[in-house]
This record gives sequence, C-alpha cells and structure tokens, in this order.
Amino acid sequence: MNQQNNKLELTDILYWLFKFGFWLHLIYIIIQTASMFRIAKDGGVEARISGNFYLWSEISDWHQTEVKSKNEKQEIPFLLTHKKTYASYHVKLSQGRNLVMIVNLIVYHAIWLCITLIFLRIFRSLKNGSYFQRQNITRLQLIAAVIFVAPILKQIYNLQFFAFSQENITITDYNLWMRKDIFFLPAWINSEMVFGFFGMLLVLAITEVFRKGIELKTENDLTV
Amino acid sequence: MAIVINLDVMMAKRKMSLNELSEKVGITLSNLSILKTGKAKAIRFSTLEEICRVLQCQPGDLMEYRPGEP
Repeated sequence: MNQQNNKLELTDILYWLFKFGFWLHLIYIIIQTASMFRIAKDGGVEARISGNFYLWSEISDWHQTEVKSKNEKQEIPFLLTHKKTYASYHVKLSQGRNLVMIVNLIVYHAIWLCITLIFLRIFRSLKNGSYFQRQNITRLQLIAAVIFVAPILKQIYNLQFFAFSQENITITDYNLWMRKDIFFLPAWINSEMVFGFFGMLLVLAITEVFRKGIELKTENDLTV
Repeated sequence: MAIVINLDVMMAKRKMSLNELSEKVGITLSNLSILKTGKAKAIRFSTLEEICRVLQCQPGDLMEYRPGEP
C-alpha cells in the first residue's frame, strides 16, 4: 500500500513538472517569436547555427569576421563568430527568407510544445489511475515519430542554410565544411538524428509494453 | 471462440433471472452479462463452482465446444 502511495506521489511530481514545463515552454516560444519578429522588422533575422559547420582556423579565441556576398547584387552582411572548429552565424537575409525562417522556427517549437502537451496528458492519465488507455499508445507513437522526425527536419533546415551560405558567401582564408558529428557516418547525419533514432526505438519499446499491458487489462476485465 | 456458453439455456431450465443468479452467485450483474453474451475471455474455477452449485448442473451443461465458431 505504501509502495503504491509512493508511486502516486512520484506521478504527481512528474505531472506538475510537465505542467510547469509546458507553460515555461509556451512563454519561451512567445518571447522568442516576438524577438524574431522585432529583428525581422529591422530588416534581418539573426540565425545562430552553432556546431553544424566545420571551419579551418588556427584562432583559439572567439573571433568575428565580416563576410561578403559572392553575388554583388545581393547584399548579405554576414558576421561569422568562430573559434577553432566552431562557428556561429549572424546573418541578415531578405524579408521572404526571414518569414520562412520564422515560420520554420515556430513550427519546430510548436511540434515540441505538442509533445510536452502529450506528455502532460499521459501523466494526467497516470495521476488519475487510468494507466492503460488506448489513447496512451497513440500518444507514445506520436512522441516516437516526433523524436525521430524533428532532428531530421532541423538538419534539412541546416543543410539548406549551409547550401545557401556556400552559394552566396565567400570567406577569405577559410574553408567552410559541414561538421562531422560521428566519424564513421556522413556529415549530413548528425548526432541528434542518431539519438532521435534510438530515442524512437526506446519509446516504441515502451509503447509495446503499454500495448501488452492493455491486452492483459482487457483480459483481466473480461475474466469473470 | 469455439467455446459456447449455454448459461441462458440453464437459466431458462431453472427459471432463474440474471438478477437472481448474480445475487446467489455473488458476482456483479455486468460480469454475469459478459459471461452470458459470450464476451468473457476466461472464467475462474470459483465462479464456475458457484454457478454450478446455484443452477445445480455440471460445467459441461454450461459450456460446449463447437469447432469452427468464430
């Protein structure tokens, strides 16, 4: 009995943590979207993509280099912050691209917000004592799908940005490469994608446990 | 399921209602209804014993094996 009470208490804590996390996440998205729109209104958008590019440089301190556009018709002030092999970008793009980037960011955050909401609903069902529900299987499958797909979407966005950078800018004395996260995999597969894949497998395994639990519960309910 | 429950037949023979049976056996009306409609996945020996005692019959009178039943 005591053990059951302890479990319920832990579920309560997790439920309130996720509830707090959900509102915190929502506030963060609102603030970030507002700041993105403010920057976009000024004529550019700040895109920090750190760790996705490989830069050959001997400079050990953080250093900033202004990069010029390859295309003279396009004015792309490009500020590169780099230190050894890490680089982050602060780039002012055209209004159209700003909108695409903002929408992309909102969609990306919205997906994760939905996941927080789904987790919240799972913990609410656990808190209410209805552990084995069919809806929980669907919720877990959705979480598994997002864990796998979200890093891929992010990487596609990074690759597009990288391609755009390579086509449009030139950096004197430096070569720009995609940073290789895992040495035996191609550069376009980053560690987030690999963790996403294994995370998906883990969540699917938990889903199967839930499915089996529901089967057992149904069988138990139909035993007279 | 190939096992068919003939509880309703035995109840009709003994002229006993579902309510009366559930009271005498000591299981809920919903559980007895699950058993009668053939939705039950399993039956406990204790429940079977009680039903047999109340209806004064053998387990074989309550259920039969019909191959090919869905």
